[in-house]
Amino acid sequence: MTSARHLIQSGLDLPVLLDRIGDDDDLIASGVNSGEMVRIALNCEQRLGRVLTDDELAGLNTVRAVAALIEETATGHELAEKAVD
Amino acid sequence: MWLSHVLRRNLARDPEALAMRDPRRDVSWREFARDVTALAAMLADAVPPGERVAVLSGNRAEVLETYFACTVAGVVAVPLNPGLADPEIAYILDSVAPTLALAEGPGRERLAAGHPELPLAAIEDVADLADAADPAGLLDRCAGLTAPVAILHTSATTGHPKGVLVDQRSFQLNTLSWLADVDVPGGTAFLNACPLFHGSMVIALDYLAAGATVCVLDRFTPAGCLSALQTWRIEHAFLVPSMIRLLLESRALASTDLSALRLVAHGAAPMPAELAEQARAQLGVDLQTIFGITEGGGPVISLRPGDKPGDPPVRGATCAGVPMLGTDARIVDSRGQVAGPGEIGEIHLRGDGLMHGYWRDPGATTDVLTGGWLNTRDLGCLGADGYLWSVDRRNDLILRGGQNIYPAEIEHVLRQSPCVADAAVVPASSTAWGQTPVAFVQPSAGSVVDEGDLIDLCVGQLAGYKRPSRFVVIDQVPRNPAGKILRRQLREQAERLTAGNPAESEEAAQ
Repeated sequence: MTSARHLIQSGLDLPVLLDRIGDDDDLIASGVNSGEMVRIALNCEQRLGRVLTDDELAGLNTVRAVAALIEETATGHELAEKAVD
Repeated sequence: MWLSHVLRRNLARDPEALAMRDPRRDVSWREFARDVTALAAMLADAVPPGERVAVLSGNRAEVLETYFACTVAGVVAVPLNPGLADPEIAYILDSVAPTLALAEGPGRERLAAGHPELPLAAIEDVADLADAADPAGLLDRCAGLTAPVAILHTSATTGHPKGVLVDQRSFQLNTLSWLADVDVPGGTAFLNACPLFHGSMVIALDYLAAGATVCVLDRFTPAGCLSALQTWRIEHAFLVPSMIRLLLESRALASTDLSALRLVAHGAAPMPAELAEQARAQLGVDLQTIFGITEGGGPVISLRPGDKPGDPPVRGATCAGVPMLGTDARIVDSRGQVAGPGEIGEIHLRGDGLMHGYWRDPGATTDVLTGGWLNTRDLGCLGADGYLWSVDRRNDLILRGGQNIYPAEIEHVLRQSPCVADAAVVPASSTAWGQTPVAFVQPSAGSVVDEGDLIDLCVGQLAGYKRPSRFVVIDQVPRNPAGKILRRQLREQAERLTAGNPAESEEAAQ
C-alpha cells in the first residue's frame, strides 16, 4: 500500500491530501480532482510500462484499487523472474 | 429559431448523415430531430416559457439534444458542472430556481437528496421519449433569436458564480465567425473533449451548424482521447493546453493513428511556445489559438495556423490573434481612453454575440457592459499590424487546466474557519496545469491553523479543481490602506515557493 500511496501522491497538487484519505475511500469524493486522477493513471501506466484498459481506468477509484493494480503486476514480474530462474 | 433552423436544414439535406456520436450511440440527423422534438414536447408541457431547466450531466449526446430542445420549447437551459460541491450546486439552484432538472443517475441522486422539491427527469432516457411523442410542427415553435436560452455559470470576483445569460443570436454569430476562420466541410469529424457545461460548448454548436459530426467524449483521459481520435477518425478538435500536454505524455500516443487529424484549436489558457512546437511535431497538426470569454459568447479572437504576428510589442505578451468576424475589439487605458498600438490596457469587445447580462445582477452587468462594449478585464495591447496581444488575464483570475477560478471563491471558504482571520489566494505557475491556486492564511488571535482542517473545509465546499495546491501561514495578509489585498507581493512569494516544489521541478525537467 505504501508504494501505491507514493504513486498517488506524486500525481497530487497537494500531496498531504492523501494523508486524510483511507485505503477504501473514494478518491474523487475525498477531494482528488479529475486532472489529478489523469496524472495518477499516467503514473500507473509509467509503472506498468503499458497503457491501462478502460476497465482498469474506471476501477482506479481508491488507494486499494491502485495498489491492487500495481501489485498484481509486481507479482506477475516476480513470477516471471522466478520462472526465468 | 437558430438551433431549430440548424436542425431542419441538416435534416432536409441528409437525414441519415451522422450528426453526433458518443461511446453509447451514433445519432443521425433524423434521430437528432426526433429526440429533440420529443424532449421539447415534454418540456413544453412541464415548464412554462422562459423558466429554467437545470442540466446536471457528464458529457453525452443527450446534453446537446437538451440544449436544442430547450430552445424549441422556449425555456432556458442551465448547465451545471457535476464536479461542483453540493453547496456550490445549491447556490446556483437557489439563484436560478429551475422548474425541472434533467440529470444522469448520479446527478439525480444528489439532487433528490439535497433538493427533494425539484422535479427530475433522466437525461439518458431522452431517446426513449420519442416513442411516445407526437412532435409534428414543434420545430417551428422555437424561441426567438434574442430570447435568452441558456445561463452559463462562470467563476466570479464576488466569491459566488455568476450566470451569463445568452441567446441564439450569440450562437448564430459565433457559428458565422467560426466558419469564416475555419474550413469545415460537411461531415467533418469534430472531437468535443471539453465539458459541455463549459462556454466552449458553443464550438460544438458551430460544427453542428456546418453539418459536421460532433463526437462527444464522456470525459478526458489521455488514452481515451487518443482512442477516440483514432477510432472516430477525428479531423478537428478543441483542446486546452493541459490536455495537449497529457496527450503528448501518454504511452498510447506512439501507437495511435492520427492520420485523419488536421486541426487542433486550443484555448482557455495560454499555450506555451515549446508545447505548441511539440504538438505540431508529434501530432502532425495545424494549431489555431482561440481567445474566448463566456460573457462574449465564446470564441472572439483567433490566430490562424498561417498567421505571422511577429515579435510581441511588449515583453511576455502572447498573441491572441485578430477579432473574429462580427466582433470588434479595442484596448482601453487606465484613464478610459482608447489606447494606441503597444499601449497596455483592458481588452473591450463589441458585437452581437455578447451576453444579455448576468442573471438577476444588474450591478455586476453594468460593471462590465457599458455602451455596447464588454470590458473583459483582461490586459492586452495591439501590435502595429493589428494583431491583439494578451498580457495578463483579468485582475485576479486563476486559470487551472482551462478552468477559471477567482480567488474570492476560495478565500470565502477559508474565512469560514474559526482559526482563520484573513486569507488571500493567488495563482502560482504550474507546468502541468498552467496555474494552481496558492492560499495564504492569517491565523486568528491565539489560534493555530491546522492544514488538515483547511483541506477538509475546501473538500466539503469547493469543486476539486479549486482546492489550493499549497497553504501558507503568514502573520498578516498584506493590504493597502484602502483594504485591498496586495496580491502582486503574494504572487511573487507563491512563485518562489513553487519553484522550490520538487514535483514542479521534476515536471519542468521532463
